[in-house]
Amino acid sequence: MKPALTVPEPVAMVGRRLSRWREARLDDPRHSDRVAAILGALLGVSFLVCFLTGLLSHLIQHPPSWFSWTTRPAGLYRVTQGLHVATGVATIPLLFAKLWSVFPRLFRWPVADNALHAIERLSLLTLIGGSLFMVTTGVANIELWYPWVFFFPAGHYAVSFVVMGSLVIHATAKWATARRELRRHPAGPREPALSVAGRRRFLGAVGATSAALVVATVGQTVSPLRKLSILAPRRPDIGVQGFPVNRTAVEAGVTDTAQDPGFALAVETGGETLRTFTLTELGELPQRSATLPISCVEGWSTSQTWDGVPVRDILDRAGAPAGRSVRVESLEGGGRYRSSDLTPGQIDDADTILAMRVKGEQLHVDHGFPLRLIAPNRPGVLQTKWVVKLVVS
Amino acid sequence: MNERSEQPHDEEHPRPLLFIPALIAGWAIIGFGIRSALSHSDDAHPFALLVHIVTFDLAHDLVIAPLVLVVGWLVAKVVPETARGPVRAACAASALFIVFSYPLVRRWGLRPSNSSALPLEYGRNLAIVIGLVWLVAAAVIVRRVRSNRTT
Repeated sequence: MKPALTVPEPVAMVGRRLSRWREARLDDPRHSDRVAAILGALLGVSFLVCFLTGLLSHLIQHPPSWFSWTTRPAGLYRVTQGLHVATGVATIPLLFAKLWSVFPRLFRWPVADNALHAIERLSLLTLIGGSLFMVTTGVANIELWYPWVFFFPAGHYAVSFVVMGSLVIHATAKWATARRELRRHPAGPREPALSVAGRRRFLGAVGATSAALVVATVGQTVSPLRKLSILAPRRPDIGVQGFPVNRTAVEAGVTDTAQDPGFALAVETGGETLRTFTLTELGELPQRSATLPISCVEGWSTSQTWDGVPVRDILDRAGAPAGRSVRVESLEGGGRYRSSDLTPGQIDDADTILAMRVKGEQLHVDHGFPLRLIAPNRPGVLQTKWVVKLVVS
Repeated sequence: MNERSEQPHDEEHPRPLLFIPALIAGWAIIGFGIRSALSHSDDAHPFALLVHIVTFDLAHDLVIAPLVLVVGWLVAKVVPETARGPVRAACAASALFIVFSYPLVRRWGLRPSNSSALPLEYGRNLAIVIGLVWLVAAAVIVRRVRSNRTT
């Protein structure tokens, strides 16, 4: 075959030597097509799970006009976001095992045989760099560490499409090989028993590491495993009043305003205040008790029993028109999460309440005293704390 | 000279009929991501994202992969063959747990007013996990040595 480009002989010599190293490595069953196919298929599934659950979380937080999110089942978001983080964590050993397994293939010589082949190989840059970006930023985020200039959700969201697009290209290019390898009888006549054992031990070690990493962290959302999850960034039973806090009153700068004795909740529409409620007045209204999870986007969650007044009742008593969406505003002076929106459907759920108590006690200021929104099937960042105003659209 | 004849492990080349539509679809999806980064550039910092992706590519190929190869080679030099696999696996798993937990151990994400953020003793816990990893590796090695003796 005639090379498409001529390269200086010293470069070609290095290329050929590396290619011989590649050939020698690929004789090892751990670098075989079958291992690449098995790990590739597992990664394909885990990437898809992370992408779809991540996309769902994005849509819930930034709903376009065609998207509406229901309040039931109440714990659905807890499951999808828990799955997002746990699957992402499980992916880490799989990804590094795959990269290790296929690394010798990088040194093919000639580098590519034709333009399409070159494009296919170049697509790996966005796939590999993007995948490493996704797991690294994801892990740093659950560990509350942000060593970069971009806003984590915006960067993680944009790059997820770069990775999925690259994955479509890569999976199509490797489809025939992967299908052949996955359908082949595991210990086919071409393969000596020793090689099958070597491959299985390798995959077994990778699977065990992945499972161990998940067990070490997933207790932050699967409460019965919490004592095994000794590397979890959160524990569902640790925090004031026995469960975690995402943002404290000190961090939000509301310690004084939240504890002002003159506090009152206002219901507004069109710049006009319909009615205000003091805490005493709210306490005298019929109370609703709801057992609902706080499900943080960072993958921890905890279910608690909250007492408060349904948002629907408050709006009705203020004489607010029905069928409108409502913006729930916090005492926080600024920040991305100082308010959240409730659709008419979400407001009509009787468990959408402004809670004043949790576990039968008055809310701690870090959990949103005097009032916090708690509603079914909602990301934690949208369960607005220190609620001071309901603005009817 | 036909250079491909030297490569019994050569990869299958993309088939144009399938690959070109996939390329178009893939780049449409990538394009959506790029557009999202550019249209929210104050938040997403598209240039920083690009720099990060390229850095991860280079870090993998020039630092992580060679380092792993060197460690694997060193293990082959000093560890008898029966124990080589478990020792290499334990090295890899330990490295992974250390890198994963390092920000927790150093408490880089600590929030002074928030007792529920990073509430565990991660240094001790990481040591426990690594201890367990090497315990499993040791158990596998002992089993192998025993089964080698009996056969």
